[in-house]
Amino acid sequence: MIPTVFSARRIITMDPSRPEATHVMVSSDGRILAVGGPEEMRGRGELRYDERFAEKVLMPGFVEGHAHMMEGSVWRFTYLGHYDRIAPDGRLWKGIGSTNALVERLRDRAGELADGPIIGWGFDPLFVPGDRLSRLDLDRVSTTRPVMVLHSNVHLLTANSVALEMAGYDENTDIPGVVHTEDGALHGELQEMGAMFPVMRRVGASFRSLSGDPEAVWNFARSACRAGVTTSTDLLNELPDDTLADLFAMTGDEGYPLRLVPMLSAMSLPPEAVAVRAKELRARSTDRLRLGGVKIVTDGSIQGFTAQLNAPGFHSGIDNGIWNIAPEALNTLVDELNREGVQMHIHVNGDGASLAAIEALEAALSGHFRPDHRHTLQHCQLADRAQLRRIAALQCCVNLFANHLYYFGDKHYEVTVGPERACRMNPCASALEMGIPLAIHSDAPITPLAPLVTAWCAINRLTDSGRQLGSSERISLDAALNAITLGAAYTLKLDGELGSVEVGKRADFAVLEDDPYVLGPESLREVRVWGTIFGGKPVQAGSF
Amino acid sequence: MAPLPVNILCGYLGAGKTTLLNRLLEQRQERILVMVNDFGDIAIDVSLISLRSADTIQLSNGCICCTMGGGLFEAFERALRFGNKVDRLMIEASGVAEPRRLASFALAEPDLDCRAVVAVTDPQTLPERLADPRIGKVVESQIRGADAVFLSRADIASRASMRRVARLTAGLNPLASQHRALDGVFMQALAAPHDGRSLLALAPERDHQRLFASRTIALGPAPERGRLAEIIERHRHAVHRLKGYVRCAGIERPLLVQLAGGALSLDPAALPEGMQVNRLVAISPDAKALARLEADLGLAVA
Repeated sequence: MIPTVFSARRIITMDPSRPEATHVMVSSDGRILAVGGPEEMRGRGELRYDERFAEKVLMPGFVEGHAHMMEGSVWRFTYLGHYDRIAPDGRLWKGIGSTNALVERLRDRAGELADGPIIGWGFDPLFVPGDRLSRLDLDRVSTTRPVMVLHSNVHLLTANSVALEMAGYDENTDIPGVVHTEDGALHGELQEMGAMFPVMRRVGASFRSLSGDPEAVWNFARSACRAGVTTSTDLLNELPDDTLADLFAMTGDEGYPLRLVPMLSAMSLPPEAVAVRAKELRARSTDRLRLGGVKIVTDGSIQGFTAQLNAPGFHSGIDNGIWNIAPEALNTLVDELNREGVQMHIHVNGDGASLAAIEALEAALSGHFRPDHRHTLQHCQLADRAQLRRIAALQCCVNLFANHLYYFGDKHYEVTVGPERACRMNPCASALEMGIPLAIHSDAPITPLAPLVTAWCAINRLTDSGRQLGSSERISLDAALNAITLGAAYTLKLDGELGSVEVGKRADFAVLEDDPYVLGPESLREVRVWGTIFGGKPVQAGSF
Repeated sequence: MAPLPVNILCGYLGAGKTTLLNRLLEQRQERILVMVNDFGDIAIDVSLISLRSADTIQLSNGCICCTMGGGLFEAFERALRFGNKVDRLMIEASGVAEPRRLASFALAEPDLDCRAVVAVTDPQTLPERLADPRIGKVVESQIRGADAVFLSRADIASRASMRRVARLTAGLNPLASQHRALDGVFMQALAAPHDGRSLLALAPERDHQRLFASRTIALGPAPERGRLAEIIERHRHAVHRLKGYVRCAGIERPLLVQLAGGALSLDPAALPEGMQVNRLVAISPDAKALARLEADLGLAVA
């Protein structure tokens, strides 16, 4: 049981008492024993030196505070999105820029798969010039096998003639959401879940097939490792016993290099049973499977026009705001969970939803104040400074969706919320100014799992077209790196155990080829990731 | 296998959905599969429960209750796996569900047969709910999306509030029938097919508003029955849907005038409270066709 000493070009510790180091000593059971220079690596006995990272930079393993296991499963379908993206297996998928490119890629995949349906995901027609993708385009992929393209917003799909026929759709179909062309024929686009359902279930592409089977759980860890992530949430999981048994088994595997933090869906049980189940789960946590948190979903998404917005509502487009839980029911649930000492992560996108959550938390915490509750507002994209002041007064945390600034920023500026609100979306600087504990996230697979990119978004607030959204809400490199390590760990109540390189903490590291401070804040997203050290064991991206 | 008939019960929290559902379960002779939005909403009468497992409740009358906590997709997939073991699917929607979203599944899926969508409202609280900036829109969409409106607590609500709510709901959805009791009329309404297209045309929704126009046509007092029928018949291909209550000359009871699928009916019917007579709501993809109908009716029966 000889401790190992890793040396590095630089170790960024996130510990203010020793912000930098070059050596770290870790025990064989995965704890940090010493941090400092070479002369400070004194053990009680023999030491093993590992020099392989001597030219690399170490940071605390990144913590993704809001992602989904679907990142591991959705890749069984073919990626058709606008942005370049790397799959868990390391394959680079270039962004799709034309209908021809899309057809070609699906044709290639049809060849690779030999038989069965051909399914694409992540397609966004806004980025593809020319006529809208139709049945006829997809008939060029196959006229004998079903072909189905799921759009990136997950509320639309386009199917080929074979797939439409399987669902019994034809030119006489008169069903809301089944689109016809000018001449009355089927177009191929299906809008909203109802119209999509008959095709998806017959093609064998239901959302259930995207839940966490073993391959997905491993893929999730593969994606995480590529991004330097050693701890990630799976922010909505019903956690039935069979899923739980699988998760215990897989995370218990010696080689599984990720601490998973699944959040129990509050909608999966009667309100009075949620707290009981959460506490029961908390007691069963292991070092790699951290249980006990609860997720509550209030509204929809801003880009899908289903968020709850306060007046004056959406800038343009139709307001389709939805509640996934009635405001009164939210009050009851939040009160119950707070009283029982269960930590909540509340999904709130629009400012109407964050207001409802703030009001529910105010009522709950007035009745029963819990020190250090760490209830966290997730996304919280449109909270204004007045709402942030109330969040600060409640001592809640926020986990802001910084990636939206880049990936959806132009759309928010031009279409969804307009210039003023787009420029104060995901207000990282205001949150920090008011002392609100801050994390930032990707919501993978909605946007790519890559905390350094997320940090870059929060620092620079640049959209895809290069527009800067609100320079006053930019944060420093230090603050952004904190938000993807200790900050995110804090929202998960894991900051005592990980998130910084300190003696006694878990030996989880992100291993970087480049130094974030040398490349600088503008280029942070170009920092290359070698992989991770997980519990003291080096894990190279792509090696498993 | 014949498609499974589906009914959807919607309505805000406390509107009386569960009470109505329990009374339906007591009455029905068939095997009903009940689907509830989440477990929080399950409040099935204890006397009906015979077996409870992780995600379903077996009821002593052979009915089954399951949750759709796993999302709509999974819930419908599970419901369809019951196959011919059940005769009807009853969905108790969550208090904030829009019936349009649920009904669209049942409309699109060939193995399902979408029957009436019922909006349950509590006369004592409905005006307040509609005025609530947070949930007013949802409550409105529930009424607009329904084929039938059930006014619950008719036994304890004051007459004034019943009248007010009847008027409110008739204003929001003039096509929906109104009910206060689980009588034969309500059972009939429950069995009728869901009128997806015309109801959607009433709802302020982007795509469908573009496709359909609706118009409320005021008739003069006491039109003549034969003449009225003749004029509407002339427009039956251009007008997609028409409905309203009319008091005709020489006929004592009001007539429920309906045009659906090209077929016109004029049947004596009890006038729902709050419903204005001699107003027809007409829907067509062609706004000009509605204008022509109005002109004809105006000239002839004004």
